[in-house]
Amino acid sequence: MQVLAAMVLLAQEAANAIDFAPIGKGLVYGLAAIGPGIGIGIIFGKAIEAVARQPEAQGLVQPLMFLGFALAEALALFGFVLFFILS
Amino acid sequence: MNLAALFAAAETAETVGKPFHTPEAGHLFNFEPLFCIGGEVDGFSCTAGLPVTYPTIIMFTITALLGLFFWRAFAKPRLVPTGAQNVAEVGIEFVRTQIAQPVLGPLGAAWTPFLTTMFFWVLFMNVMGIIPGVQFPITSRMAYPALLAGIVWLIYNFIGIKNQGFFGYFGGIMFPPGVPKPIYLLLAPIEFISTILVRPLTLAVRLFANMVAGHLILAVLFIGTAVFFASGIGKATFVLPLAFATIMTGFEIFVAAMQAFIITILTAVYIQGAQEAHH
Repeated sequence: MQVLAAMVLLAQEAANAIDFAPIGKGLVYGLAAIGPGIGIGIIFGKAIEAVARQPEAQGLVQPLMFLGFALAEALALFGFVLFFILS
Repeated sequence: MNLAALFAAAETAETVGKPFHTPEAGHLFNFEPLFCIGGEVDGFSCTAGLPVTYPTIIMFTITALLGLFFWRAFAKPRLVPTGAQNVAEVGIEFVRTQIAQPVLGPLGAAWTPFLTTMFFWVLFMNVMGIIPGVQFPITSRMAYPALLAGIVWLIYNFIGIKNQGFFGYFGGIMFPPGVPKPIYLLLAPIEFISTILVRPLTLAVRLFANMVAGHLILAVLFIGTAVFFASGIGKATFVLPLAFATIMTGFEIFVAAMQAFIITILTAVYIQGAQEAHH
């Protein structure tokens, strides 16, 4: 019981001592880039597959590919902008 | 001066033995005004009037040269192009065949001048980041991408309202057909924010962020080369950041061209989306 109380006290001391603000600031863009990275990879992979199967479809596929890319990248850019907004 | 003399001079430089402080990001991107039109220079801004900084001068010079080149190329156009007309036609053909026609179809011809201007302006402003002497990408100052995004936003909203009517345009965005009715409650605000608010923001920030990141990488690597050279940690270690900086310069050329292409083709996609009623 005493050991548990001592451990909780130590953890609280450590949490008070560590400065989380720069860690948080650094994590913002790192975490925000994971999902859009995968999403953009999927979009372009599928578009390449589609054009490889049917080259005549490039005119149809390419504008849709760029539209999807813009929407997926928007989420990553939110993270980038948030890094500058955080003080 | 041979290399041995350079090394000897570096090892007795004032910075040997002192800790290295990376420059703040602001030092790389903020320029003091060289002069002010209608006021006095006051630190990083002007007491009154318009500040004229180094990037401003470069931007106006390159824009004037670009306009002059295209004007001269088509001053006396010939059926079989030669000289400057030939080079300019390659550029215009690229934008027409790869961007305007696939996305806009028959209307591509009408939009080709605007798209060509945007493509070449953004390309040259980006490439300024690696040209010796300038080495500052003009589009890394947020005002320029923000201006382009504002212009594109005005254009595609105006085209949408003109072609589909005010309520037809916003109704088409917020209530796309073929969706079960209760979903509209969730979909309409998301679609409105995504099309009207997020599109210009991402257009600007995409270009700005790419150019800022590239410039930061190149600046850190080249400053690192100088620091490695002067710090005396090893006679020839400075070639390591120098080699990496060379590779990153090549990558920056690619990113410059890629960002110009992407902003142009996204402009075309947004215009095309506003032209016709959605399905």
